[in-house]
Amino acid sequence: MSTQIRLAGVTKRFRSRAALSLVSAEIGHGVTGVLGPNGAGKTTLLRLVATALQPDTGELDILGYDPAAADGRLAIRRRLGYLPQDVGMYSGFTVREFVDYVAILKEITDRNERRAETDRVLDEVGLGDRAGQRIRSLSGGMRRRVGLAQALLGNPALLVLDEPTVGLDPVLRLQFRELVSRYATTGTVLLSTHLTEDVAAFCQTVLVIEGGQLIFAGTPAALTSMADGRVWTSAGPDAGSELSWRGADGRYRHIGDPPPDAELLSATLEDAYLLTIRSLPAQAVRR
Amino acid sequence: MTYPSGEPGVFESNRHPCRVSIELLREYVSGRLGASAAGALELHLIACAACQQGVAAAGGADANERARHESTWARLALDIEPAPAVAERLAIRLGLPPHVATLVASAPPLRTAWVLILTALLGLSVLAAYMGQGPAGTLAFLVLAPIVPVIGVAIAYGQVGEPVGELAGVAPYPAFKVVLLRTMTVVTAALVPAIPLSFLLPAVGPSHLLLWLLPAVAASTTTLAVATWIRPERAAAFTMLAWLAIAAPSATRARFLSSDELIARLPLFQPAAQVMFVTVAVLAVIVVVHRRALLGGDPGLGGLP
Repeated sequence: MSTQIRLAGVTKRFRSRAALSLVSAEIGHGVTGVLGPNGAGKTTLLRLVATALQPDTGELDILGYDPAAADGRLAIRRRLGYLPQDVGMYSGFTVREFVDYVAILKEITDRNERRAETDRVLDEVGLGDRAGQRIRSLSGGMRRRVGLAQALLGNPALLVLDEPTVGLDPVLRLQFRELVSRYATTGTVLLSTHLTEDVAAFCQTVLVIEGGQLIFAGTPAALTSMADGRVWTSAGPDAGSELSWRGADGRYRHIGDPPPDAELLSATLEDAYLLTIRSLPAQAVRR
Repeated sequence: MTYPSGEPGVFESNRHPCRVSIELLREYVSGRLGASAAGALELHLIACAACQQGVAAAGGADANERARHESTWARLALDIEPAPAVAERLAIRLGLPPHVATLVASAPPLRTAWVLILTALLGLSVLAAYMGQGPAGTLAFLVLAPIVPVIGVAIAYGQVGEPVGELAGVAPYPAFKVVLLRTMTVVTAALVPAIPLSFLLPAVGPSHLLLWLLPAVAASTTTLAVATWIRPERAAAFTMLAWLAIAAPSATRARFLSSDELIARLPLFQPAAQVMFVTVAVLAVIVVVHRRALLGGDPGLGGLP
């Protein structure tokens, strides 16, 4: 794996709160998903990689450039497509005006080239026929697609997408996976999500963050294997399990030690993720 | 028949009363014809068999027909884009490249700034009209006019006003350049209509232009300088409060004076004060240039949460 993003001992604090603590990771080509509960530090990690923030301590290397240096930041930004969690969109813009505005900020200054590129990315996200529509009249899912469209401008080598599938219906999520997978054949995609199914479906690597700390980095299969032998099913509830819930078939699914009369099940990525989050040592959760 | 003699045989047998010349068809086939004319010709070609043969004779009967058609309509789409907004056209006329004009003028904060500035100026002129004969109207104009561009700067530059939010901060286009371009445009927009308006005030003629122009420039540049430490909205509030604190003692003394005495006797309008405003403006510009990396959302030296 050729490393595209390297974090070494990265810490970022907001006032007294540590959003990320001593995070070290190496990320290569393809799609890398960042999983974690709300407030775990996913957005902070993505903003650091997108050069929207600088770490308090530690080092970053992104696409071979140092974001701490002005020329390194500029080089990264020229190769970056970024979808923030909250895309600021002036509601009076049309879809085309918004994407066109971002295209200028991305240094696509030739009018014809900008027009062609805007058309291309809007077609990519299925909004070619909505180009003249005002942002204020779009649904949440459509706004998310407009946000994704601007991130694709200029075929960036690095796509950083913060919660890209929020607001997308199942069909659109499938189209999104197809689109991102296509980009990832030649580039690097780092996306955050709280949906394990997204990660299981198309991420080659997964990072799990909790309480500002990186608690897992590896393949989805490796994460899933952490729950092997720890997922059970039985007819009744079990107070001794770490997690236990009643499934659609009426039987109970347990994660942890086996309850009486239970059968072993194949673990899923979600089981492993829940187990990973639940089994953190106390000192890792507290800051 | 309008085709010139000697052209391919298709024309001899064509009895269609078509006025399209073979030169026009050649220009179309070679791609030299303008988008509007090419679009109109393509519509005509659908129904005119003679011209279809003419296109073939001009070398256009090849596999590129579809590409030629798409190129025509792509060029047409560019031609029929909505005209740029007034502010954008003005910026282009002033010599800015079209993409910079788009950045500067189509940004929504600038539109808001325009509205606010014009409203404020109208309010000032109405105020002056009502109170014009007394010192209160004159003083109101002289004290409030420098604040107008400061409000404009806060809106044009403030994070609230950035139309694409965080994206602007991580784009390769220099945020500092965008900030300065917008600030200059807003300040100019505020000052240009204010100058003739100030001439309408009985006690403030062309000779007194600098009385409020220099504080306006000093206040605008100070806002930018302070904004390298704190958020632009707060920087603007700071500057406005500082200016009002400086002007307040004058206001309390103004009621005992006539409009002419106001300008002649209040310290705020004396040459020493004008020199101070110039000094403040120069210092502010030095600070802005020195600390420019902190303007415009580049988080390189810290970053906002």
